[in-house]
Amino acid sequence: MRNTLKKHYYSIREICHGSGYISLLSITLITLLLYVLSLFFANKQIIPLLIGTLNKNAFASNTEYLIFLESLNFNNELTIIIPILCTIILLVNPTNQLKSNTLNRILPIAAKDKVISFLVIIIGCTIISIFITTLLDFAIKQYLRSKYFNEVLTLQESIGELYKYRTRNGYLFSVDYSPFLNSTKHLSSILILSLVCNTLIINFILLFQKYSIIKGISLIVSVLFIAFYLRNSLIKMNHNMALEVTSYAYETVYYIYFPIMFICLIMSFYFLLKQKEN
Amino acid sequence: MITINNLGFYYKKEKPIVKSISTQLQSGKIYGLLGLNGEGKTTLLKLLAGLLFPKTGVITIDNKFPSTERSKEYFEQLYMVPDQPTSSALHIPEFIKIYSIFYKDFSHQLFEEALIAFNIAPKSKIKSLSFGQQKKFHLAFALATNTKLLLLDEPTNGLDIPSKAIFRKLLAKVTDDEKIIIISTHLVHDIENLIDHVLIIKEGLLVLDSNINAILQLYSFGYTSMLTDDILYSEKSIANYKTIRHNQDNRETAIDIELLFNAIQDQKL
Repeated sequence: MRNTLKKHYYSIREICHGSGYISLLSITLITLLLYVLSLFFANKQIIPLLIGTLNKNAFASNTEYLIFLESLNFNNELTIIIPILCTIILLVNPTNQLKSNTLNRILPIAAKDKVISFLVIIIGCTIISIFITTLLDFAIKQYLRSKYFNEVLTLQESIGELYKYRTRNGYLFSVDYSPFLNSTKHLSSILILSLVCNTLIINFILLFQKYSIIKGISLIVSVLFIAFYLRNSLIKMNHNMALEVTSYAYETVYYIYFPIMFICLIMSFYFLLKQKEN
Repeated sequence: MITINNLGFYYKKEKPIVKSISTQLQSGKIYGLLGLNGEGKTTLLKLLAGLLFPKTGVITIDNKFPSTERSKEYFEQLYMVPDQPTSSALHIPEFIKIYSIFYKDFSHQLFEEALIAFNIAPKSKIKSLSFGQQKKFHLAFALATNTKLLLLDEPTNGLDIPSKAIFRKLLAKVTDDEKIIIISTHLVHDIENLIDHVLIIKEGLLVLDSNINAILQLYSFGYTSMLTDDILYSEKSIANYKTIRHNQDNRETAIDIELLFNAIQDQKL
């Protein structure tokens, strides 16, 4: 047991520090970078907010600025994919080394041990990135709330809305706002998605010699396009009926189809390690 | 012992690179693998390292571990230094900490001695070393792994002249009765006095698979100013001719591997 753990520890250390640059620092930096990027991509209000923070006078009046703050919607759906993207970015290099580095390919580590090491790293990176994302989300939102909450309340009082109540979580200054919402609620979904996406990317890198990620994504898009086309044409043939997507359907995807897909990807990864030539 | 049985390999079926090679590589010997460019030397090394799979035939170590299994046990027995090893962003001590642990007989002492002999600062960042220095670092690591099978692809390529002599000394030091060392090279003079056995690969076939003593019993190597009928192969040198003859009177001569290689390429032997 102790030997097995040691063996995995050495293998994980090789992937993290030998073939790749995976550390707490690199996970934090990439997560931070992705978080900042996601703020700009997902939220149109970030630029006016930054301008307003630097110079309130950029708004036509203080009231307009406060109205803008009141409507501040900080629900960033992209935070869900940050841990997945972060793990993918960190794993590209070690996976490439599996394909092209002779030293790496002849290391005396059994293929199944390598697969297990990669899975542990995927889970570890995803969880750490989720934690950092949640922490960032919480810190930024708490900062905004501590800085502007009183000003927003003053505005609401000045226009006679003493008991304004917003139930939507997206509004930063609503009474029942929960900054943890995005990450903690979807922890298992993010983990499953991260395992599927990362093993998929690893398989693509090992499968294709050049431009593997582009080729892999093109392949998925093509398959999805064909599937979508077939689905549409088949449904039209069947009296144009519409499919209703229920929560049951989502659960089926997450807890049945994804795990099956994941097992297939793991098997593919194992056999690519055993049989891939260069 | 490594057994190669009926080994064949191709990327395109109509253009085979290795055709039906069978041989046994004995422990305690240094093999020189020679051949023209594109004749399959590196392919043979990759097949031995389990990086490629034979299309026909099988390679086994001690008749137990087939190369196609790519098992941990197979990889524990070998180490390969490619012609152009992949650079690493690590510093040497980090590299050793991470990678030496996988080789149970790794000799830290030998590695340090090799680094000193090659004049490489032991705490250098590998990527910041020159190509020749990186090659020396990888050779030092390879020798220190103490694996049973050591595969070296063009090991002296990129090494300066003193380093070639140091490499020969280190290689001689690590050789023992358990090890099999295979050196693939164009620079035959660099390893001439080291190798015990010559393997010459031509058009995918092993056209020569013989130890040095057996070659010297058959042929004598020398110089002459006059070409005579008993000369099997000759090459013009500055003042005279380098020659190969049948060794009828059991003379002891030093082997000229380059001459032997050229004679075989010209189908004179």
